[in-house]
Amino acid sequence: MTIDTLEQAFYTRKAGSADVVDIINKGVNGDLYELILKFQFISFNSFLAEINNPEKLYAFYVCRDRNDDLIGWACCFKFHERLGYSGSVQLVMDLYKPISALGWENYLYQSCEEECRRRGAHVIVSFVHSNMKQLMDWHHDNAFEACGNIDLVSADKMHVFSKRLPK
Amino acid sequence: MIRLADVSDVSAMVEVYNQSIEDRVFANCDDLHGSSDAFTSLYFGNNNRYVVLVSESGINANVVGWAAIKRFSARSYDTSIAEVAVYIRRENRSAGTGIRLFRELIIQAEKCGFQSLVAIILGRNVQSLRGCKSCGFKEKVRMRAIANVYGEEEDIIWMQRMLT
Repeated sequence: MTIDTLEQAFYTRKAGSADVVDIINKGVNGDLYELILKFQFISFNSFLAEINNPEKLYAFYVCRDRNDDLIGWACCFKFHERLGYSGSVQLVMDLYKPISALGWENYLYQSCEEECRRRGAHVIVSFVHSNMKQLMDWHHDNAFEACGNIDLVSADKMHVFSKRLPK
Repeated sequence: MIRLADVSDVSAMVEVYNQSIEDRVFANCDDLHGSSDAFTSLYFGNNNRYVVLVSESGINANVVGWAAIKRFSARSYDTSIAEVAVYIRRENRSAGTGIRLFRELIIQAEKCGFQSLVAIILGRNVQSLRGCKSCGFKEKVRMRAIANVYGEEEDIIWMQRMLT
């Protein structure tokens, strides 16, 4: 079968328990869970429980191909505990397949953005390591504003992006 | 006199912190802290690399300000970068206490092996921006209108200082 459209190739859905099991089994690229989420949540399942709380500013989506293989996930969670950041969320995307011409990662991201907007978020913040050139380009292409960068060890940088969401 | 703080200083630290919220000096975008528990956990729950200093004054050695380094909130797992916090009692502001604390904090951070410090400052807090700059910090990140303080959208600025 020739795959011409996004819909033929992939689908995106809100993450559920089975997806979490798959993510854990598949392993999280770049130690994203170890490096980022574990400082926010005790476990992936506790993260999932929080995500499903409609009162909170969270979103968690997975993308699968037509063979039902998990090819990526994206989530947003509260950017910072302080009161003044209550409308801001942080985006984390983990893509198991390269960014493609079909733009499945956009589809995945849009699901997260729409969910966050419905829940009242007004800004999405994202941090990208300087060695992830393709992901940096993706942020530029998706109307994220480059806010600057922080120097890391060995001349690496952490780039900061933000995007205002329409009300 | 500046000295290392311990848990017994937490109530004074919270009092000074809450003054900055009450006075609406754009010190941060937090709410008042009702108890000391969160402070104790945040500033004394880590290992000794994350130093807390207090500045004392007068014959009663009252705490007139405090400064701390803590995990950088945007990269909590990164042990090479720390985030700084400096708060001064309202009657002692604009008297150089903050700068003295800042300078000592930088010395302590270097001793503890951090490679850089980051200060997160509201765009309207010109005094803190100036103070950081005078201590060698440079503006690296500006997130426009990301915070909401006193009903208005505010920029957040990250300033960074590399350590030797």
